[in-house]
Amino acid sequence: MSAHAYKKKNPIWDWLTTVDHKKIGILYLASGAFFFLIGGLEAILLRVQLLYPEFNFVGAETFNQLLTMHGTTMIFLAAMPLIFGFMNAIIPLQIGARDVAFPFLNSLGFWLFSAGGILLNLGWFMGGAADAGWTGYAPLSTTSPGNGVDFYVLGLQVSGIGTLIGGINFLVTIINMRAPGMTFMRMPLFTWSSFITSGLILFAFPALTIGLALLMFDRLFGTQFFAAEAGGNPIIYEHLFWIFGHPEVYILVLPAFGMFSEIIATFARKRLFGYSAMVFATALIGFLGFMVWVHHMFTVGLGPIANSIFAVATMLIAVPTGVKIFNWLFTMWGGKVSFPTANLFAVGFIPSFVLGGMTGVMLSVPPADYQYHDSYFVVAHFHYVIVGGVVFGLFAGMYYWWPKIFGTMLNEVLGKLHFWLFFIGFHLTFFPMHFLGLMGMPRRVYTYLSGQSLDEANFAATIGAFLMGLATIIMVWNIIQTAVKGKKAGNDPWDGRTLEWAISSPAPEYNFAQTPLVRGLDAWWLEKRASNKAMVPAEPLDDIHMPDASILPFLLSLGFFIASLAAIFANWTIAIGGLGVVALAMILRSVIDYHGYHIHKEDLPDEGGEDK
Amino acid sequence: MAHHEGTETLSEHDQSHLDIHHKIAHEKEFKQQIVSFAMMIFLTMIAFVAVASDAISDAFTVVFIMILAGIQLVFQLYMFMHLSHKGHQYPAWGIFFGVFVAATAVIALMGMIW
Amino acid sequence: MKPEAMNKLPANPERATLDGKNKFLGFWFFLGGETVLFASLFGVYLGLRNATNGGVTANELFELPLVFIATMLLLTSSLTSVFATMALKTNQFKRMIGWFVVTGLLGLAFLGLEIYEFTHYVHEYEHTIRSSAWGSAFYTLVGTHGAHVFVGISWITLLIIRNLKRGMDLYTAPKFYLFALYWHFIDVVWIFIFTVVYLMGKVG
Repeated sequence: MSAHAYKKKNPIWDWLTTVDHKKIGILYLASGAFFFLIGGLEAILLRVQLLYPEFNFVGAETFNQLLTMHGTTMIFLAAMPLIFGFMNAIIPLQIGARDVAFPFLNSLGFWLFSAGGILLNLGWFMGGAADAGWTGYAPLSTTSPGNGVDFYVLGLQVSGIGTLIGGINFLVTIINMRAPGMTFMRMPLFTWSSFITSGLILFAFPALTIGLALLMFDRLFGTQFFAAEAGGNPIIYEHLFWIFGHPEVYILVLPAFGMFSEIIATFARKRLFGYSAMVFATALIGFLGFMVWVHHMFTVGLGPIANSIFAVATMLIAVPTGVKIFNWLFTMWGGKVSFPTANLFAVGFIPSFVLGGMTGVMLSVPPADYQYHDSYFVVAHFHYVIVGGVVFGLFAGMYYWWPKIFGTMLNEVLGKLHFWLFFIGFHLTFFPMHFLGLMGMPRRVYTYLSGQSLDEANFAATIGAFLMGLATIIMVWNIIQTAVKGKKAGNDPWDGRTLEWAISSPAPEYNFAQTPLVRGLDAWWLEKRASNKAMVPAEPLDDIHMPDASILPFLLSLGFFIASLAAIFANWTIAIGGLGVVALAMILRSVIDYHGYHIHKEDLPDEGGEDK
Repeated sequence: MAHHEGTETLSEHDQSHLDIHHKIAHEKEFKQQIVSFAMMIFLTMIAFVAVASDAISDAFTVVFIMILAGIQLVFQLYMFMHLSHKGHQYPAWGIFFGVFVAATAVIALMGMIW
Repeated sequence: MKPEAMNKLPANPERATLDGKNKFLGFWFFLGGETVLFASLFGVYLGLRNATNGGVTANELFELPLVFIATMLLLTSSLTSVFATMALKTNQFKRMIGWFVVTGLLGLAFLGLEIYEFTHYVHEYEHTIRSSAWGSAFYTLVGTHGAHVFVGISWITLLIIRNLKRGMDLYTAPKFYLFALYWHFIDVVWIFIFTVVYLMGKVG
């Protein structure tokens, strides 16, 4: 069967059936980038609508749809897959593994996510997209006319299953697949934070699954969960959504924190300051993340006791986050700091995120929250956290790991232009929003009146959005340029510290010809200090076992896609047919044996050739 | 390290020696399982009787049957699902963090609504 | 199975290979997630259990003997699946299959009882998933559990048919072991359903 590996594969079939974590990572990154561009376009349209008071660019109805889809797309279809893309592409390399624990499920997770993402956006072409806000609060969502919210509910449900599968996969991968010597306290911070994030996914997403399922039942089958007139209770939806929704914030930002920890240490040419404190702070943030969700619901009227408990828990989170901020600063302190684009984004993140953190503490005080609630102050806050934290992290990670993923270097001049335009545009857009909120401008409303001192700040915000758009175009141009005629990258272009830099760029199909022996934190850095040109192998050279490719994940996701689309239009015959495809794929998976195949050691390239 | 656990092969002597131990262990386990099962049936019956009879107050009954359910949970996890056996540290983490989040969610949905 | 085969499998065949170890751990984590899933449904149920919308109440609807029989069926199936796991660990393939068949049949009886119960409620009491918020919560919680039982029965049927001729090895052992874990988990959920839904419904 080993001939299999060297057979010329049809590229389309190869990408549809691949179970290679590096290729799945690229699939995640590409589709995440695609949805990021769509979500960005939606944001630009929103900002044009708000350029002038009482402006009529897209109108109220389209504004509601754009607003809902911008939030939903950015969180679920851009940020999540981009993070999963980096986790897939990097984590197995960082822990010295040949693969993830469940290659088949990994591929299934990706295809379910993409089926859900396409389903969500189909609403635009089939009678209007969702318009009940990214939170989909009942009863607005249960009574919203048309099919828009149905696309939201089923699209998120399908992609959510994919995310849950991905979370379990990375938990098991990190626990079971680490190379010899790679103890937990020697794991790179990106792996650590992704580990915690995977745990959060596992325990947070089921609450969303139930919230969405009940919403779907209310809309499609006439149940009464959230219908107050039949004894239902819409507050239940809010709880379910935020029991998921608050951990989701940490699901997004913790991997970004991990990326910053590695990038800042690499470009300060110093070991990360306070490694164990960083690990502990990450775990603590993850744990506390489950006990603060009610701060999204302070104005619901749950009473002073509930509000106080959750206010205190929310304030507590500032402590481990502060620990991290100081550790990053101390890592740079006394280091030989250089500023390629990756580090510019990492360093630019610190003050931006701190601003978002400060407004977060302001919002955690319930009486004050009654003033800020549903105003642009909240919009400013969460964009400072999510753009300033997550998006900066994803950009930093992109410039840092691009050579390892694709084997070429992104252009640094264009990269720096990207950073500065984005950084300035970001602050120009969102800083004025604090004041807009304090002056009383409500969020999610499609226009405002003139003569209320809101004009200038809104104008500035829109100009800032244009700058971010321009920055993104430059980034896309940079990517195209690099794809066409990018400079080839060496194995270790940044003089890195972790295991992924010890192998060729891009990594071979089997990652490590011989599983490496890890002798400490920053394993590759240690070997380089000891003048070793490669990692010490932990096993003799032998045949390498590889998993079989399979089309079943794609088929299974297609079945879910068909079933969901048919359910939206209440065509139950086709819906059952779609579920039949799902069942068939599962039965085939169960009946066919997947034993994998071997790459023979004689066919491996010479180890010495890797050293450039 | 994680790659190689449990893949070592035993000599035949060790193997048969182990088998005797296994047999004794299994007989012991068999008895334990029967006792656990009998306990669970017993606890279930008590719960049903407590509800069916009017002898005890309603508020107390609710607390009492919840405690009984909790004991049954422990039996299932530790006796039937072998959570106390070697190599179950991570599964235990997974289940108990799940139970923690679950408890938070139930308390919220029960008590923090209006 | 040949008696000498006993010597060829390690003590915990379900976790003897890396693949088995991964499946074992991944499945336990999955059950951790399922705990939150069911807890959300339990929370919704508890939040809505008095929202009867003027219709039939839990106290009027539930009949304890029926629930008791269903509970006994499922508890017994949990025991038979433990027996199957013990046969798995001692490499007695036929015995394991036998106990799993009994487990599946008990599950099937449970499911039949539940279907009878639901149709009874709908036809005799007009208690449906749409009649009140409590009705919605009841059918969704108990129905989700029932769906899990159904998935479990289909799973073990497929496993038995596929592997009947193959016997026990390090490739099949994890598959059967995971099913047993799943089945116990379903039983745990049922313990809380009969306590929270039925018994507490009778208490009022």
